[in-house]
Amino acid sequence: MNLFKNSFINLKKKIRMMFKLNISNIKYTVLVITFFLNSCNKKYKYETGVRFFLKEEFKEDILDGRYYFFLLEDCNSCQGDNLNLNLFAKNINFQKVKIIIIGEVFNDEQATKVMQITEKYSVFRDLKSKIYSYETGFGKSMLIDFKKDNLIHNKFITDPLIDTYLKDYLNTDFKLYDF
Amino acid sequence: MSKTLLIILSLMLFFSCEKFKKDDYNELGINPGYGKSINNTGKNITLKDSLSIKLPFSSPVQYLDSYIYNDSLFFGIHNSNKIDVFNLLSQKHIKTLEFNEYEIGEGIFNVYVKSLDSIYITNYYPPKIHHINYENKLINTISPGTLQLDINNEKVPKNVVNYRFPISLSYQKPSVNNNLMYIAIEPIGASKHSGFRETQRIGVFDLNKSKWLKSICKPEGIMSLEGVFFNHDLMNPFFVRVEQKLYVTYPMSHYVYIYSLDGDLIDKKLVSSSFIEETPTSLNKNDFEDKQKAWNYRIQTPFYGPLFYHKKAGVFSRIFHQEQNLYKIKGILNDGSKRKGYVLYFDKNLKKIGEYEFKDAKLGIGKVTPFDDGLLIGRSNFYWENEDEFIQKFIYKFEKKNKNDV
Repeated sequence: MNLFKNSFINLKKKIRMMFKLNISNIKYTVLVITFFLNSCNKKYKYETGVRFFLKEEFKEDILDGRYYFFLLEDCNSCQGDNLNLNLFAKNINFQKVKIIIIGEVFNDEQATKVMQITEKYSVFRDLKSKIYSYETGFGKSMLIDFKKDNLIHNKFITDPLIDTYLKDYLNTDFKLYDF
Repeated sequence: MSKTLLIILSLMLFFSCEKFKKDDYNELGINPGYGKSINNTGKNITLKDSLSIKLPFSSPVQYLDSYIYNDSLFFGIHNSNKIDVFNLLSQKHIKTLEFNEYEIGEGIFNVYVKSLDSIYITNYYPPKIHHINYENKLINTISPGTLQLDINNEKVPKNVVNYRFPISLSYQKPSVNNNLMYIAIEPIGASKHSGFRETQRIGVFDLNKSKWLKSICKPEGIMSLEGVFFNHDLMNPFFVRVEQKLYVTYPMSHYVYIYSLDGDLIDKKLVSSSFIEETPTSLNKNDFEDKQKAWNYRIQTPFYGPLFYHKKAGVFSRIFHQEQNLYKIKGILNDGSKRKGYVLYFDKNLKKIGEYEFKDAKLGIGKVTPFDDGLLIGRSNFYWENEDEFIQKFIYKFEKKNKNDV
């Protein structure tokens, strides 16, 4: 009974202590939490699945450079794949980008653009959408950078980011990045 | 002291709110039919025939959507603007109806054959309804402008059509009765916004006046709860019209909700599998941000297919796809090739009379089309052998049980 009473008193003391934290303690706590959150963000949750997919389907054992994944859809007004196809069909300056195109083409226009892209870039075609059999985190468009087999950056690219963020990012020399 | 009191009160409030929601979910998700055996004295489902039909060149092995008219003509949509027609009795491809993409828009996804003069096909988005006939003629198109519905949807501006005709799980087709078309509607973003729990999900369109009459059937049961989210294709209703009633089901619900054609809820009945104890815990709104998390849920979760009514047999049927493991082998996600499936069947009053098990996924997902007295079933693509073979080849029929049957 006394043991229980003592534990309860200790717990009460601890709670009281928590509320007596001064400003510098709070700052310290915030810093520690931020540090942990940042360090968590650096690791992509589905890195293992991405590596497994690229290795199994395309024999990419050592990953180096930018990998950009996007999906072809059966829909003329689907903005995403049109924007992706246009971006890569028109631009030839992007360096070290390997493009993974998921799904089959649905019309002649898509086929022409895919062909243009294939002439300019290193392209992997996942015609049967096998990516969904791996835990890669892939939803729509996804950019992952590797440097000497280390994952250094990843970002999901929503439709509005294709012509803005993605274009600017890919226009920057890959070597300039000091990660 | 006051701080401690405040914390305790906040915690009490937090837990009581959570419990309230969870209790509702548990109550509606629990399956009273779990583990209950059936005293089947009525009908059996039996494999009667296996078709052998060669596909025409460039036709797909699997059709986006299909309809069997008069228990003999199979209409299958493919390529978004073509419909293959097969005669299942003579086991031959009869014709292909083909439409100009400029006329029908971005592809058709659903087909409903009321008669050979009145075949209705619908687009996904923007929603359109086309009236065609068996002679390949486009009789009329109801445009998105005419089909505008007043749904409050903050994601889409008011002057734009803010819903779709759902195509999920390949059986959300229209039904026509006395020139009124009943059709499932899916407000854009419905799977991600709790507000749509209050939105009616079946539209009633007057084909004579070419205007919406009303929308009916807001989500009931587990689908009506705030904060409950499933994958997009598991959120849409199925319905079947039988005489003057609509029978509405949901992939994640054990119940059928029965409405009058005016939209009044008349009854609710259990149409569940005896192999599921409760609906698995739903996703939450944030889970949609992690596409992988949502996809993993979709792979594993058990779910129901549409409720069919087989007029000639006087039987309702519903397919149940059982839960499966996330992984097929280490690192490779399950492709469903071994997922167990059951045909659950019920008499006219929705009393269960049988559960037929398809071992090792010999029942394909989305490859089931009803007859007036049975089902046409295709196995999952794992079992396909020839690229030029019509895969929905197994004809199952409901038949009166013989005295000698066990």
